[in-house]
Amino acid sequence: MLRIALTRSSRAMSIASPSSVPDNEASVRKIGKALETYLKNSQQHVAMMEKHRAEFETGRRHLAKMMSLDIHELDQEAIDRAIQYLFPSGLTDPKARPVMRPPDEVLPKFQRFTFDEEGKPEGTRFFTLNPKIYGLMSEIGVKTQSVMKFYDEHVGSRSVNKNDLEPANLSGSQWITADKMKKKLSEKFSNELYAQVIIAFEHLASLPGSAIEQKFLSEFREPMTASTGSKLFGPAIPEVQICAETNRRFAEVTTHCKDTRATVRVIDAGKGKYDIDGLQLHDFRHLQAREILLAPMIISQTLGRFDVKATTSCISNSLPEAPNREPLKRSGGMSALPRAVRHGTALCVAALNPESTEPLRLSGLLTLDPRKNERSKVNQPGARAKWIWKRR
Amino acid sequence: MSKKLANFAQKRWISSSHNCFNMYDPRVFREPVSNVQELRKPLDVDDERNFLFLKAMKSDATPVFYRDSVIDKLIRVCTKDGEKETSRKNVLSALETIKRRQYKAWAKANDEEKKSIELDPFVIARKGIKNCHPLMKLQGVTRGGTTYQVPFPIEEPEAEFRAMKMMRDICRVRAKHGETHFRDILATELLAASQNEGSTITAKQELHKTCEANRAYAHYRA
Amino acid sequence: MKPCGRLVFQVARRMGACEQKISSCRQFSSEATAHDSIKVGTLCEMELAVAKQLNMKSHLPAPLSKQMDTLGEIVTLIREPIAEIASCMRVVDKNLPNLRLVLWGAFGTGKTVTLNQAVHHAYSNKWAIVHLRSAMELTRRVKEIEMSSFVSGRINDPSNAVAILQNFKQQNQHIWKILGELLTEKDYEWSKSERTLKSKPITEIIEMGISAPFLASDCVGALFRELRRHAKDDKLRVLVAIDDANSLWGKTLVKRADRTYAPPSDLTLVVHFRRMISNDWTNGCVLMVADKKEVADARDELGVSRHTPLELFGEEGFEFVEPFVPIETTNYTESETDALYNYYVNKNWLASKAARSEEGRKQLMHLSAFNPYYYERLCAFN
Repeated sequence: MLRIALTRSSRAMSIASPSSVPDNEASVRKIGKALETYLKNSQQHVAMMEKHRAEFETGRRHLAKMMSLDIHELDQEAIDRAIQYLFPSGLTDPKARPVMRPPDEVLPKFQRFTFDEEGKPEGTRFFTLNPKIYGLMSEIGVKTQSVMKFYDEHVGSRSVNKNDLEPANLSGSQWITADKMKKKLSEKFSNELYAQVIIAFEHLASLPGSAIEQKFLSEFREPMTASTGSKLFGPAIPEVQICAETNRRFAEVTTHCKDTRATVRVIDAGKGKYDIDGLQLHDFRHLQAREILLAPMIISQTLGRFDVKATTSCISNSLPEAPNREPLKRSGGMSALPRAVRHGTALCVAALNPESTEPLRLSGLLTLDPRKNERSKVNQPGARAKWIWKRR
Repeated sequence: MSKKLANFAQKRWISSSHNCFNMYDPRVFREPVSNVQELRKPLDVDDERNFLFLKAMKSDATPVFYRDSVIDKLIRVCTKDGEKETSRKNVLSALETIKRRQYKAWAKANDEEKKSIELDPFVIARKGIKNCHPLMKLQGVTRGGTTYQVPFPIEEPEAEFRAMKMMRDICRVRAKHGETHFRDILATELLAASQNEGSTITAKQELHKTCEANRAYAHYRA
Repeated sequence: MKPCGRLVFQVARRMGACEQKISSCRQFSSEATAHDSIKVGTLCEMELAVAKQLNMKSHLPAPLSKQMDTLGEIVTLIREPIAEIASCMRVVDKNLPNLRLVLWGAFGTGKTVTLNQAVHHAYSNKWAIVHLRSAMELTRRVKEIEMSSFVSGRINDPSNAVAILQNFKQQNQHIWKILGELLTEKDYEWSKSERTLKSKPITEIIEMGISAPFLASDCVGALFRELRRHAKDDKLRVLVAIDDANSLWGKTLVKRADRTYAPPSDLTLVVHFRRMISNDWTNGCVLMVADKKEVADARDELGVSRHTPLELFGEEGFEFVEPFVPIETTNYTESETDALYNYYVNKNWLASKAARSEEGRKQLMHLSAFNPYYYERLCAFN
């Protein structure tokens, strides 16, 4: 509605108000340009949405007729199938394929603002391009100041809970991604702005005393499990199988460590025999090698219960550029082969003896060691070593 | 107070572009549990390790019954040119030598003395290293062209390292001529240190004396 | 039947009486019967005086030699191989050619220890003992050489020869009188001035060799010849115990005058020992150990070489040594490990508390992979 009764005298909000109506008349006043533009945009948006909704409805009916379906049967899934059938697309990006959705889902939303009685928008962010995210940043700024003040006032005093004076505990979680934040704030913004928001968040979270704002910070954190998926880094715990001839349970897995790939099979109801590339445990002359190979049994307290059979190979020898490398040169020294077999054995033991899964995981035996040989750099003899430095 | 906090608050975390790339992403990986008793206990429900990965177990950290952190650290300190196996052989031979000498003394002793003789070489080695812990260290502080040796306080891990390093250097100097092996000299030193005798203890006491003498420079501590 | 001698000294200690199992206690010697066989699985002790005479300190492997020093006693496990050897030695007869036994097995499974136990067994039964600590000493640790005057092209090794004669003298003190009664067959002309006449006691050959190093290699040959002759005549039984015997056909580090390495057949001592091994004499037993020291590369930390007699003796050696009785040494069984563990605990050798717990016992067994050498090494520092 364009006509708004003004209670107060106009303070000349508008620059262009050609005809100034006398104050004492409780009649239509010129409203601020901001509100005028807003109302115009709002009207346009409403009209557009109406039009699109009507078009969508028409489209639905046509589609129903084309696909010989009843209009009431045509839900969104049916529409998707129909579009896929009628407009088959070879485009790889799903967002690039043709889509038919209700306009409320697809078209940009109109941001509602509140205006006071004079036609002034409440809050200056109406005039910015990304009001919501600037609002968030302001909020963070205000909270930062208040946290600093809280800390200054309460450090050393006994009246406050000691936990409140610590920085916020945000372990096990990470900041929500830019896409999620856009959805949360229902606003689009650039990546630079997102980076600035994260910097501000990090700063707030690092302050001592930010524990009081734990709740606010947690709203913008998501747990790590969302990205880690399973609790294991590396191959998963294998399935238990039963050997046909001997009727013994066994599990088999393939892992690697540095340059050595190992396929390990652990068989239940055994005597503690090892067969690694035809070698027995006493063929491993170093005490450390034997310690490494027996580690899963020691932790799961199953010494002498399982038999281990493993075959190993050199990864770099099987790569296409292998002919250029020196043959039989395997990285990892004495411990790589035992470590690869240990990882495989631990996974299989966890499969055959599930109650030991948690101790094995906590001791780090179920983790694939991601460390590889560091590449040697130009102008240096090795990865880190430098030539002898001469002052002159 | 608030000035300090403001200083602290102004520091921003800037990432360096050096080539120090950790294959274990520190946001997602935690240190594994090395103590066998702790492994058996279930974790707290809100312990972060329920949701995070744990780093792979180190090669020399298998929780065998004779696993000892002090001896492992001594092995690492005595390693030369990356030859840890040689170092392990030396240190374990030294432990064996300690045990043999103590056993001989024990076999000769009468029943009363037998109770006071310690046969466990790990216990003796730990005690010996502990007795060599210095209480302060000397660090060079340069003021106006002159470098003063200033006494600084020291933490437990660093004191342990300095004790081991002192002992290792003394043993290496003595073993240089090649007639006696490093392992035998180390055994002698550890045994003597556990009785508060020997060159390493003397060296520690010298260090303490120098720290005491230089206590006037203590105000140079930044 | 020939009486079997007291094979081992079995001395009772504290704690032994409570347990009924044979494998974990040492028994009173008086309880043993006259025809007792060796109880496999028990621990046996060698008297120190006997050990000194048999020069065990230098013949036993280094770790056990240190144990002798520290614990003040030599206690070893009786296992299958020594029982087999003992039964083989019982069969030796003047009508049968000498019995050749080859001890073979993986590293650290007890070949040398079994050899020494057999030497002790021979001592108890009053055999003559020819014990060579390591044939590798003859081929690779040769300090000085002399060209032989007896056969051209042969190389004498004075220091090793003297050592062999001294060792023989020391080890055969128990039958020195008997040896003194055995007489030489012919005149021995060592050189222009020295000679040993016919029908002199063979102990004179030994004395001659010890006093004159440059003659010693020939004296060794003569001594061995006389021993073989008297064994054939049933005057005594001879046990020839050679450790690292496969080195007699292996690599040499002896250089000839033209700077090439001499083959082992050019060394007099090697030739003499080979003649002792050959089965043209009777009433004796030859016990050889096939050790992979000869074949394996000392600098190769990770490599695993074969330990079968065929691989170790080589074609030439294998043909020479055939036919023989192979005796394999293996890793410990769980009961053997337990026996040894209990012994160490009783002696207070396992010092740390953790080692004496049940978990420690199990881990010791498995970490050593049941290998005797690794087990002893693990118990040494715990």
